[in-house]
Amino acid sequence: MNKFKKPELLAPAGNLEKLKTAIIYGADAVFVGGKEFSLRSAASNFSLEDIQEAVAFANDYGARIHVTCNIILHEDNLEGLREYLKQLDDIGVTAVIVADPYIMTIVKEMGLSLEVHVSTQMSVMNTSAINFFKDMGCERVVLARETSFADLKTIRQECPDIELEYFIHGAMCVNYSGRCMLSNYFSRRDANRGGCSQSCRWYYDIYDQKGQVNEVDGLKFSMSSKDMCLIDHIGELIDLGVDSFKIEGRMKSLHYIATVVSTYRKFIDDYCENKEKVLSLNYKKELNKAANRAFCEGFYNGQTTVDSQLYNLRDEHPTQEFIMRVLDYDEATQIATIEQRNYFKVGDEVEIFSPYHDNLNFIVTSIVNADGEAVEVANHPMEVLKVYTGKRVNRNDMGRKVKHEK
Amino acid sequence: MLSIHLIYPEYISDYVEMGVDLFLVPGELSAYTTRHLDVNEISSLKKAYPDKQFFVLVNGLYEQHELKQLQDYLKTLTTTGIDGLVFQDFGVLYEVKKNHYPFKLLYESMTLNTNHETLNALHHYGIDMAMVSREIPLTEQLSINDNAQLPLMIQVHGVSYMGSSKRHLLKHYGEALKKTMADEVYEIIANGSDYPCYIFEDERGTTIYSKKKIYMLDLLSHLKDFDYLYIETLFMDAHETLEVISMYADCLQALKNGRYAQYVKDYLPMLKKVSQPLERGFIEDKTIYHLEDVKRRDAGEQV
Ligand code: SF4
Repeated sequence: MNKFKKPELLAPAGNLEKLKTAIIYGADAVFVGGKEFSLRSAASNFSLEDIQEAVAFANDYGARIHVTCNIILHEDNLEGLREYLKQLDDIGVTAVIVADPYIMTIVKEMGLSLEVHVSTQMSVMNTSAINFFKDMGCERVVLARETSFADLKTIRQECPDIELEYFIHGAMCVNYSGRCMLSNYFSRRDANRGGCSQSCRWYYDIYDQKGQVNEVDGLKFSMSSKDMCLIDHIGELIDLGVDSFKIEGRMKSLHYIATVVSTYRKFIDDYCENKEKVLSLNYKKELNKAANRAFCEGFYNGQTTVDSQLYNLRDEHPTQEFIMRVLDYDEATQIATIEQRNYFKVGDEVEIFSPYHDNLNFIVTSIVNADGEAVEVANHPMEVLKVYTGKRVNRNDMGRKVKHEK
Repeated sequence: MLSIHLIYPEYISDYVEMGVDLFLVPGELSAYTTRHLDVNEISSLKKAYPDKQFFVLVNGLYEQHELKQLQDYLKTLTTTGIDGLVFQDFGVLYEVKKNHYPFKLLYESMTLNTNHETLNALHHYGIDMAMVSREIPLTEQLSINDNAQLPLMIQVHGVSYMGSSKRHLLKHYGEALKKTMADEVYEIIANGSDYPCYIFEDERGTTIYSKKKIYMLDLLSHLKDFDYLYIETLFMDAHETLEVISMYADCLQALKNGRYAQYVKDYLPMLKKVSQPLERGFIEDKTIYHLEDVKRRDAGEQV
């Protein structure tokens, strides 16, 4: 029986394909960046036409679209802002995620029906700051990643009438968001306008009064963080009544989005149906398949430890290989039409994961190309092929290559 | 008006004599500083110099479990006679307004004050003054000053804040290295870069500053419409601090009596000797953020 208020599962998307996948795989809302006023202005941002298509698609699934307008404005970014916000409102976007207080004020001043969500770039961690933004008319605060569960609990109790969004999964800035200028100084790339060169992940030599601390060939200083994964705490976050669970990663792959969204979707649904159900299932194992860095729990327990840091690039392990996306399935022949995403060959073991059913595995026994010829290897990106699965699969399922440890 | 970060309160009479009007005072809840004065010390400073302005740095980003301490601290500060607070957490602004504390509020967001509209909007919500971002060109700083409806402060000299983390990055690194990181301040240089930085840790986490100090001694004539010119004295010894303040104070005086050009000519070489290493920061330099611009720049094209 559903005894819990289900939180919103909020997913990132860097293009329309990822957005649709996130929704199909169970996101209640998706956040995307616009072309001009969004961080990650560098790439993967949506034109107004894309946003319009996104809203229409989301509406069909009862999902919502949030648009990030979270750059810190400079003098030359002020132009066109009002028109842009009006267009988002007209299109039917649910919310704008905003860091600059000026944008917050003009959304309200213009009388738009867009909700204003205070971006994590504002590093909000206490109820007084939340009340400030509430008084400005903001509907939601995205809490700083530095907020611990203990603090979150107090905040929830003391601020029952504003929505709280909490990061549950993804990469972490090592510095307070919005307060990091490493990239600006080292590369003249503006981190607060989406140009960050990830300088915190670089290697550094470090010196004390006496000289170099790190040996020349030894362990270099780095600030790089492991990625956050709070799958083990989702139950208590649901119990607490957090309104929205945020997954980070607008630049991440389709495979990442599908895997992470579907895993958290399943956890939330399973937990809300029966708390005991989640104990027996290994959701973390599933998340690991899409991870390219080791996981930590960020500041959930208050402070990070040495184990939250990455000092060695070898700790960044590659993701499990995403090899196919299912376009269609013929029940009679048990043959799937797929789109190739990475190299695979006859004899490989494939794990299919899906928004509709549990994971299933099969061995590739035949691959047929568009000309009807049997081939041994699938090595052309995006090529449409037919593959015998021997098991029922569905449109939009995805396949990854199973790697066997030697 | 000249303002400074008061790292050496023992020299305050010299600073006052040189013409410093406003002091940013590091207090018990201050962030990004290496010195912390207690409430009694702050009180005594204001008592000794009632005509000078003292703004206490309550400039951290405060966590929920620190809120009570922050609230108590703000209340205590009302007994010191100080003029204002330097803040970046809007929780501080909320508390001051809610309790009708008599402090002026100087918004120093470290990095975010990059346009005039935002500052005007925040003025409406209660900020009285603001520090302009260091990471934008002088032309943009001037444009903000021209269009902002509140007094602004601009940093004219000293090291630049670069970042801060809640994490204890030096302690963690020491653990990974199996070495004790006992020094107060370390220096780091990114591989492939020649830009050294200071890094230090306190109970609030880790802070990074540039080692190079920006200087604007020869640009003061452009800055005469700013209400406050700020000298960041962190990572200067007491002697350097006195020398630097005195040169800026003299040049400001010279601006009034038409002898500025001569003073700059005499003082600039001295400043470059006394206060090393110096840089222009972003004064003539714009940051970029579009991928296309990054690619064009990396290919050696003009962006
Ligand atoms: S350098 Fe690192 S901590 Fe700073 S903004 Fe970029 S990713 Fe975040």
